[in-house]
Amino acid sequence: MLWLILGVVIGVGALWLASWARAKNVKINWLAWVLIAIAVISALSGIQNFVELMGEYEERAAWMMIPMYGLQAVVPAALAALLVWRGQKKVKA
Amino acid sequence: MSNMLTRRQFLKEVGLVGAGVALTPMAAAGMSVDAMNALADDESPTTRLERPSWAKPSDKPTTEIDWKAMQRYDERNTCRGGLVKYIGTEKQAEWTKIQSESLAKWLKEGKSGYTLKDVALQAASGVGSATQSFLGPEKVTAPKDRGVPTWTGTPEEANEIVTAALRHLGAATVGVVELDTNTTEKLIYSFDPDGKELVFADVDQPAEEEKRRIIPRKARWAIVYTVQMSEETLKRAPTILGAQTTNLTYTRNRNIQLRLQTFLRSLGYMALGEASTNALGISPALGVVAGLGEMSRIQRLITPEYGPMVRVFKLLTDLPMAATKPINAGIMRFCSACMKCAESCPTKALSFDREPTWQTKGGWNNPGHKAYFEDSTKCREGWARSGTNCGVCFAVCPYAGKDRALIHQFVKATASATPVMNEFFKTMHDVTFGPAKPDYSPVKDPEKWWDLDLPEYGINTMQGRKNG
Repeated sequence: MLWLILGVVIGVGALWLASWARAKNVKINWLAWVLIAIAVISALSGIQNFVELMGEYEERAAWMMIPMYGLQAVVPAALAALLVWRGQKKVKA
Repeated sequence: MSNMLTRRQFLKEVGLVGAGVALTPMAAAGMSVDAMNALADDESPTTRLERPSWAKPSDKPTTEIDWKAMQRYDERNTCRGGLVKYIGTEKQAEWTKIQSESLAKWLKEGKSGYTLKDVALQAASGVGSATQSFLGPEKVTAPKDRGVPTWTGTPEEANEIVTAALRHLGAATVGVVELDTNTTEKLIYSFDPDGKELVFADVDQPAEEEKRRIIPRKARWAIVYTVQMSEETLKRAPTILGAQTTNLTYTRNRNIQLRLQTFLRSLGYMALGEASTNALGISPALGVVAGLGEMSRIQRLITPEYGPMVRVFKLLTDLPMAATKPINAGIMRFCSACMKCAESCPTKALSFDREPTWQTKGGWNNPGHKAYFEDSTKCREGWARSGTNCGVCFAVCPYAGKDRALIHQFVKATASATPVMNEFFKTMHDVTFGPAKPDYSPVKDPEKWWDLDLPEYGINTMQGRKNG
């Protein structure tokens, strides 16, 4: 059920992002999409490992997954945002 | 060309993400690609045991064996029954005294893992089992008594029905070793723990004599199987709660062995079992040759499916079977970089050598194979001082995991493919699961075990399986 909900959330999120970008005339280039995909996969891996390690009664290891995979998700997401923002700045200039 | 995606491209991307999300839980459940393919294949055999894809069949075991140097081993030379000849009666009496006094003191103090409820569980785990015997049950209805011929089939079919039966009766994984006088037969003990000689003879029927057990030469096949141990209790080692794990597994196996003997005899074949605990043959060695796992720094079998959280058993039969191949899952090679068990051992009984060696440490080791030989007397001292059969080395092993989290499969698959990350994986295991503590403290809090919601027997019988 968790994966179904996450799938729906990601699908809706991606649709919202695409329609928001179109409405605001924000250009998201292919590299930004790749970085977003890496961020999403890292976040999903982090969730999977956290949930299942908790199920294995390995609480310490589970909590360690948050910074490990969190960093792997946040860095590409931030880079993607930076790329989009710089692209917008160029367009406005 | 525009950097913007078209709607069609975008929907395609979303579809791919959705497929990835859908596949993730399947991978999380430890399913190999083969297993996922088999989901769509109605004709995939239901009795075939799926192994992790990274445990590759190999022509040779990862343990080097010099069959010429190896001789059949006398079980009474292990520290199980022969400790006194290595340490003397005085030290043995001293260790026995330390053990009994510590246990009495900790029970009264209510020390975690040594309380009355732990002792009660240990008492309960050790009862309710069949009597083990070499020949098996006295009376079994043979095929001729039922008016039908003895069961026949190809060796592969024999493997399938024995595996299906053993899994149904409570075993985890099953392998077969074909005995050869110059090689694998040397893994059968020369003497059993009770002092009876195990003799191969050109006779038609097996026999149990006063001083000997006669094995007909036609009983050429050793069925080797594992029985899972509860990881959650053994991770409470070295305590009474941890120690009862092996009690329960041995108890379960006594019933499994009797039932396997009855099954094989009912098919019309002989079934020569262990006359007592650790009888008949060298379990880890037979497990390695049968491909159930690899040898390790803890000097026990580590399996791809359950890590070291199994006990290994064997039985000889004249039912023609197909020998299973050894495996290479990178486990022995991982032990070279990982010394967590040796670092965690309170008495420093395990080897810190980087590579396995031919040089044994004492008479309790069997020469003729390259291994991380342990000082078994020091191990026994740990048993005495912890008041239990210790088991810390099993508890801390990075392969002792439930494999629900993807990270386990990723690490094991990578370690199987290449050793370059092994040092890093060991460091990360210390960071995520905690560093080695060689102070007799359990990995997990014994008191908390009583609050856990665990499956029957504390084992996951669906691990690596696809159908239920």
